[in-house]
Amino acid sequence: MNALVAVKEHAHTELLTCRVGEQWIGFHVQQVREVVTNQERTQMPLSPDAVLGLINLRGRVMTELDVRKVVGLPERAEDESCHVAIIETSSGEDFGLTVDDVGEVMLLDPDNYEPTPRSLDAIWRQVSEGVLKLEQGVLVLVNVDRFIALTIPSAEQGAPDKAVLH
Amino acid sequence: MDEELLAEFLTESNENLSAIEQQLMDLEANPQDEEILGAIFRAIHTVKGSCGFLGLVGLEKVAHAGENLLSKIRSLKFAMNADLVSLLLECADAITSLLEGLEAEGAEPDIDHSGLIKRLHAAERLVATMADGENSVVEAEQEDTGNESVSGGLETLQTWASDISEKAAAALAENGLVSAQAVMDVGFAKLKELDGFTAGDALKLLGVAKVVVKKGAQNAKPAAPEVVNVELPDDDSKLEVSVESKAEVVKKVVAEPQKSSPVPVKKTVVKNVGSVKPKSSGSIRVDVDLLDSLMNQVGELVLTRNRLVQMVQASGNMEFVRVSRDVDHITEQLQSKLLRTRMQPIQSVWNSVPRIVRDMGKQLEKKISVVMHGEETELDRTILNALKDPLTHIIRNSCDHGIEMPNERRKAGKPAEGTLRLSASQESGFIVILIEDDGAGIDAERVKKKAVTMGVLTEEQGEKISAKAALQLIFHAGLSTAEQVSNLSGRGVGMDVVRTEIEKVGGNVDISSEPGKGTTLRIRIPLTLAIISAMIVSCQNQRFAIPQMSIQELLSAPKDSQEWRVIGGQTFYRLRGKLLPIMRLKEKLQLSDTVEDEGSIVVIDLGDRNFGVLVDQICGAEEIVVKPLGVHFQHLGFYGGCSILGDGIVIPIFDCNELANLMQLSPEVEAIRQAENDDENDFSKDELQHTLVFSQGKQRFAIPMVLIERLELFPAERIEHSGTSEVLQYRDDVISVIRWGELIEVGERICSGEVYGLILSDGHKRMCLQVEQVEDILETPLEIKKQSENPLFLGTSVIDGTATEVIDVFEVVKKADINWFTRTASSSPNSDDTSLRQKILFVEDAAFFRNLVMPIFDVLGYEAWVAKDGLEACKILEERRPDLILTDLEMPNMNGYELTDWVREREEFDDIPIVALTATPVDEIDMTHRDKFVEVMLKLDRQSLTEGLGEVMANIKKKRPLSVEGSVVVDSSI
Repeated sequence: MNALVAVKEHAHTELLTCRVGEQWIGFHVQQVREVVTNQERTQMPLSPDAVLGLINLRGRVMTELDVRKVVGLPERAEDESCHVAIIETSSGEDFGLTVDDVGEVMLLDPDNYEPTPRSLDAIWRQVSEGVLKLEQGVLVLVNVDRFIALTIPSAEQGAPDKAVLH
Repeated sequence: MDEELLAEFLTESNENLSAIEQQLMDLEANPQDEEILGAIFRAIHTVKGSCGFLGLVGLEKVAHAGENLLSKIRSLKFAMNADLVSLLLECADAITSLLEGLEAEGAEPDIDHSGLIKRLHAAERLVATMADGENSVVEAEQEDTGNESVSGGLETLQTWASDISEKAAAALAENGLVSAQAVMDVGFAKLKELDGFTAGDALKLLGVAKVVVKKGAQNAKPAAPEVVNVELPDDDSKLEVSVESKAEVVKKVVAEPQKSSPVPVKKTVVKNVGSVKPKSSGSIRVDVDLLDSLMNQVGELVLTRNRLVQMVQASGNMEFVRVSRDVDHITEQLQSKLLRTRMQPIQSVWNSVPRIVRDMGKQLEKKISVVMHGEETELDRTILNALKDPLTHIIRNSCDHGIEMPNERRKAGKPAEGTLRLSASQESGFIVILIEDDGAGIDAERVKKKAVTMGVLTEEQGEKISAKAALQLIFHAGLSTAEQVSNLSGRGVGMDVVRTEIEKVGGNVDISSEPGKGTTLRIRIPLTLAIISAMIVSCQNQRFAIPQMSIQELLSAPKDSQEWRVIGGQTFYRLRGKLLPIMRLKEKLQLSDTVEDEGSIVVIDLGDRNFGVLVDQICGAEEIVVKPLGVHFQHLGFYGGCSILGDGIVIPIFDCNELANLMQLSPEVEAIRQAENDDENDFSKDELQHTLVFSQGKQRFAIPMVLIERLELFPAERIEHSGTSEVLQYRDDVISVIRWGELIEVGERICSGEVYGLILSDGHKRMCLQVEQVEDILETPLEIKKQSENPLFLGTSVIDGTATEVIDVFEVVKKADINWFTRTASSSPNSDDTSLRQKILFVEDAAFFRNLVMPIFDVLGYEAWVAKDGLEACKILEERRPDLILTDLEMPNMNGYELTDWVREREEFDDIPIVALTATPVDEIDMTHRDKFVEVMLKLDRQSLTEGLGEVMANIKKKRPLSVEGSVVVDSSI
């Protein structure tokens, strides 16, 4: 389905805006369960790069992914504050997406909407559903399913080396 | 349809049918057993009878066809054969599937069994034709249905319901229920309450009554026989074959493939497994989904409880502590009770085994019997379900590849009938399932060859690999040893799937086999999956959980331990003489760049392989709830899941099987390790002695720790002179010092720096043996290879690959003080008169240990009689009577337990106390055994041995009967 059509159809779509580095991004509000501050997390050795670790959200364990790492931005400094947006995906698994800052919940204005421009960074283009031209710059509408898919290692590189001899 | 009626019918029918399968197979074994045949007939008949009442047309047809065949077999006393049994089993299956559908949907499922029915009818006619020409089918048919006709207006019970039991008939008569109408009027509920009536009987009777009343309403016309379809399958020409080949015909007809295979019935969540006992009034049905979600909730509760307990403990408030203890207790109860609701006996899976084996046996023309033990063992239903397929596969494999053809078996001197043995038992939180066959066994060499041909192993590896390891290759994908692939099993995709399936539910499987004798598969699985007991370890400040299931033991491994070995780049730790490959977690998980070999080792035992995981610290055991991990960890198999600890922190759980795969021991290293391990004998714990090894000059000496109180390192200046001898001030006492170097005239006297002193103690007497260099303290079998002529030595033993002189400490002690023993002995109350000396029967197989302990008896002033094993002890006991029996537990010929049983069986020895002497830590001694002994003493501890013996003997002297309950377990500290 054409992303433009999709967005136009949902003219009343609300977005949660977040900042990652200098880039503003938007998630569909229906997909955001909540936003929490930096959680105590358990690092998982040998896990994919994007994985920050596991967090315990009131008894539910979920994987926390760093948006900065996914889009190739430098690591956040230890003391730098961050927020974790808890996102639902179509697979049913929830993820924590770590962003630098959370902006506001805004109504998607179809007039500002444009399909993903070619000039956008390659990495953003892969997850973008389109952009919104805003005062503070271009906001990328993130397709979370595509975003998550990007962080999962492909079978070849991730497959553990099977021992020949058991 | 009346729901209550239906439920009753289902319960009853399921119960009847669950027995039928076994009964049919019994019948096959004893074709002439009329009783079993009768039981089967009644079961099917009951189903059929009830169907009429409930209006279950399809079911009735199948049951009726089966009933007719059975009835014919019964009336003609036709010898049951395997093909008929197969057909009847198929009939029972069809009925079961219809019942399942009925239970699931509340209405009769639409399954077409007409093919089966036709074959049943055909078989029926064949049976009739074969038995006797006179006994025509039609006659038999009329005879059968004649029962249901009404004769005139006079109704007696016998006229319309002939085959009810006498008791039931009497009960009916008593209640004036002789007419069909009366039975109809009184109704089901009343009827089933009558004496001698089961719900099934009542239903059956009602069914018949209904028909009769209906017919009565049709002007009492003679009842038309129920329409019985006697059509034959298309090729009815077979009926015309001559009498000689009739048996053959039956075979052909019944073996006719089913033309319209039944549509599989969709199974719903609660399936009433055949074996489940009929529900008592005190039980209700609960949706399994509900149970599962309850289980999850309790899991959360357990986690919250852990957290609460931690917080409360930190608060230190006593009031809180008490409440939290209650919460703790209740949670535990709740958890264990809920776990039980999900438990099912393993029988529910095993029920199908005799049938599988029978069908397999028939197809393969082998004779196989099944023996089962521990069917009542309970397992979580999730695990049971997961086990079903692997078990079936293993059993098929055993029948197909394991058990040989009857003539081969006879040639091998085995009974023609093979035996498949299944057993299940609980073993400390786990279930162990054994599947044994007495078949041909697996030839490890063939497996090796195959593995090499398949490229699983290189030739070199094939040569080095041990037989046991080779056998485990069976579980490798793509290996199947059957020379001929049959359609029953063995396409080489089997055993690796079996392994994977079992590992998926947290279990493990290994195989052992003896060519010619048989094969045993051992499956070990946890009781439940949801909550597991795990050891929490930490590494680089990060915690991980290792399931207790896989843990054999924990070791502390200091950096300077002598046990570290590096072979081919792989680190090993020597554990009881065997090399244990070590996985450094820090390195493997890339937690740190610098890794030092120190910390704690978690020894993982996976049945077929062991390895150690080196971690920084062991934090303790905890019950944890397993939660699944997300998609980002699917490729990291060594994470089995995660959990939340008491402090709210998420913790990864290792899957030890996958962790083992990460080890990637190169086959070369593996082979070297094997070779090294083979060199060292596999000593049982009982033969191992804690031994201190020291060196003097270039020589090595060993001294058993039993006799050493302490090892001291002190400045040489502390050794003072007193007259001609040397002394040491030690613990407010002055003790004599013997320099080992001077005793054996090796080395020079050390007068400066630090020296090692071994403090030898005997009761309150002590002495110090100064030695040059203490090398090691280790657990080793002290086997004297060469006796020594020097009285100072017991002889030469090989320790750690080096010849080592073993010191006879008592001789050394005598050097320090000639009166050492005499003086002690004089303090003994018994020494004055030898006839009054108390007598000890000392039973010990290890000569070495006998030599060590005997002097202690001397010291204590006892007379000791020595026996090398239980048998010798019995001989002595037949001649003489000791005051005490001191016995080792592990001995050849007759062990300590057997000896104890022997003694206890004899009244005259009833009051002789028996003390066990063992090297096995006390908690490993079975409680039931422990009660037989007045005391259990550890071989490690001379002090307690002396004291304990003294105490027991003092008791005897006072002639106080020794109570068995008062058994004392002596502390194991050295």
